[in-house]
Amino acid sequence: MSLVINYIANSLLILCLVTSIIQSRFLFKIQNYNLLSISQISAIQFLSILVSFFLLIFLFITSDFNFDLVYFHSHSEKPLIYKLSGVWGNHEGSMLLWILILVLFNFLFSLSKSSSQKFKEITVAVQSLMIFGFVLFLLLLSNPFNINNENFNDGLGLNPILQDPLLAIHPPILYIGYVGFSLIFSLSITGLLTSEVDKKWATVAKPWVFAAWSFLTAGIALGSYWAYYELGWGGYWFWDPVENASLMPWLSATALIHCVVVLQKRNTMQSWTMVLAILTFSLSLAGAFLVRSGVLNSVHTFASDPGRGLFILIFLFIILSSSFLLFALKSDKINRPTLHNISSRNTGIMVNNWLLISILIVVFLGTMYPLATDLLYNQSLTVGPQYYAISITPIIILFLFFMILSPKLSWEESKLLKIINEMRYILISCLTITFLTTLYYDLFNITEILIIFLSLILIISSLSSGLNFKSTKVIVKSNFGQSMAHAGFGIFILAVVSNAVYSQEKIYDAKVGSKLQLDEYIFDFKNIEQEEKVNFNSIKAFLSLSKNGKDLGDFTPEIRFYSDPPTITSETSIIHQFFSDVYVVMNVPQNQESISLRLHIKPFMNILWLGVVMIILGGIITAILNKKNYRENEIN
Amino acid sequence: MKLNSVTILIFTYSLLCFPVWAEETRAINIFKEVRCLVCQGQTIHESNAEIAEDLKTLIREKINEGKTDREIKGFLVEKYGDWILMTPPIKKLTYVLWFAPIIIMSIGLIVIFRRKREKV
Repeated sequence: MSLVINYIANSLLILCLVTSIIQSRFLFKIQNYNLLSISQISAIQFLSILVSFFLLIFLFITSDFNFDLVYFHSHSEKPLIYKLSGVWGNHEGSMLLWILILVLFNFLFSLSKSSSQKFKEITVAVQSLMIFGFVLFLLLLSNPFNINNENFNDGLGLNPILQDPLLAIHPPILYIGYVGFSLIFSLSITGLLTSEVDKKWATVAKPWVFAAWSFLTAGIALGSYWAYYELGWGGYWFWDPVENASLMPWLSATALIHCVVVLQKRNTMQSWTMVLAILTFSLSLAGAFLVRSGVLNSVHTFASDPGRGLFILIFLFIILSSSFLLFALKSDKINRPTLHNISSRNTGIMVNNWLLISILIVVFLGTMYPLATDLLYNQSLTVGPQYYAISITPIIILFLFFMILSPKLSWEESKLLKIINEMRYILISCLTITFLTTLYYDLFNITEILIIFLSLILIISSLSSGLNFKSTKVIVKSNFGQSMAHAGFGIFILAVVSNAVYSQEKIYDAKVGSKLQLDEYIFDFKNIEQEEKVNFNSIKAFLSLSKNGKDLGDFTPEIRFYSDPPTITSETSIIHQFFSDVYVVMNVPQNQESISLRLHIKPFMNILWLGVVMIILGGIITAILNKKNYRENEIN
Repeated sequence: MKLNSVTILIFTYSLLCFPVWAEETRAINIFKEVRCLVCQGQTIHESNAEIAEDLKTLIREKINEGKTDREIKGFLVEKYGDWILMTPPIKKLTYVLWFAPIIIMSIGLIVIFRRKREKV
């Protein structure tokens, strides 16, 4: 049975390899093969990977330990959902998932009708060449269907910290984002090859760019939310190298989506758009490489096999060098000379593009610098959150300023004074709110006040530009997606700053029966229990929370001891309130008498996630509205 | 009214506890700046590994001895190297890390505004 599955799966992968070669024929001007249409071959390509992916899922569900991958990463006693997520909770499986999404995008694009036949052929060809590379990598260096000759009774299990419903969906979503940019990359290469980077190109690329960007954002947000409640370190972003590896493509992708809009509207910034498209995909690949290789130590590192890292590095090198060579040869042909005015929206978008790249440089330096000093000077450094906070804050202030200003500027020429005059009510009201907040909360830090002021203006001016209030009707304008995402960003920044200022925490060595206090909250430590579950043992503490005598709910923080593989995890217990989250983490008990508990008050977390959700929805709305060709929608 | 009495209560309570609290806040601020030697990217504040607890005790002792934050950090760097601090100090080795972003950003902005002006 196992041998049959092994045989079928490998044949399917080879079938995909062959179809990818056939698909890439357009690049080599071989046109005389017309047995099947592009979309039909893409369908075969897609189905072959889809079926082999289902085979792998089948192997994990039935716990077939004759397969190495299942043996190393699953366990018969594991709940079904984690058997399922175990499929992509490892290197080989996640590579197959990566390829599945790659062929899915290729298939979807081959079905789309937005571009000319020739353009479609070349794009699919470039994409197929990439698919060929990855499938080859899978077959040669990380085949998920390898069989062992032992008869294992049970598997070795999955890292328990990864046994979480959110983490079951986090990798697929993030991958859709990453891989989505492979299609943008293929589109850019096609644009360069045919010298057609213009309004038409931007119209074809736009829904894909926005869709990929929304998924990337959602993927990062899910990871961040997971870290917030699972790791229990009191934060939602740790500037961990792996998080940074996903943030870097996001920053360049955010610059890219704005360029595509400018290209569609004004037919300028061709070169810069191409550079960003290539950069974004390269960073996505590099992110995948960083996560996958043993260079960085974290929960994300699946396997450290130098051969695999080397393959992706070579792959990355080929993609980067060939695409930039192509760009160098063609950049003269795609650019059209245009006249710009200093006070146009173009300038604003360009400035913010550059500010995003500057943040990217901060993140890049922060991530790579310790590696570099270690290698070159044999000196170890730690680059912690403080470095990022100090370096990014001045850039964010400028960024917010131009984010408010740019949408108010016209594409032609605008008078600054006129804009300020138009915004006078918003400015005055925001100034008043900021002033009152400053007084009420004793804020004295000028940077914090400035950021709060700017993000307030951003929220209000974005919302008011996306909606038109007319007596009884609210008209949703075509830029609704944009204004929603921008307002979301303002809300996000506002929440981040307030959260940083007003977070509180305290560590107690507590005994059962004691009452703990933090701010106005009283934590009543009631009981502690030991439990035995299917795949772990646990120690659970029971606390109840009250404020001013009012009961707010119960906490059950937990320490889990997993046996396969042996790991200890700490489960955070959170009470969500509208304005602040209160949570308790238990540290691993060191002695019998008392338990070390960490209490946190995290204000504005709900608002922070609300901002993030608005950003994602804004992206999705723009991707969909583009298809409807900016028809004005009316809602009563 | 109820809110007021609670506020007054907390205020008096915090006044009474102030000296202890201030020292504890100082200690926590230093804990957050010191890396746990055996954990991945955690500060000793977030960790309860044995070595982190030892360092915390050490830092509390130094505060009691009347050492300043700077002296305590200097002591730690001398013993364990720059690596122990969560934020890298500004020195020759870290000039690029600290100043490259702001320089690159400024050059880019100057180019954008200059270029546009010439074209008009």
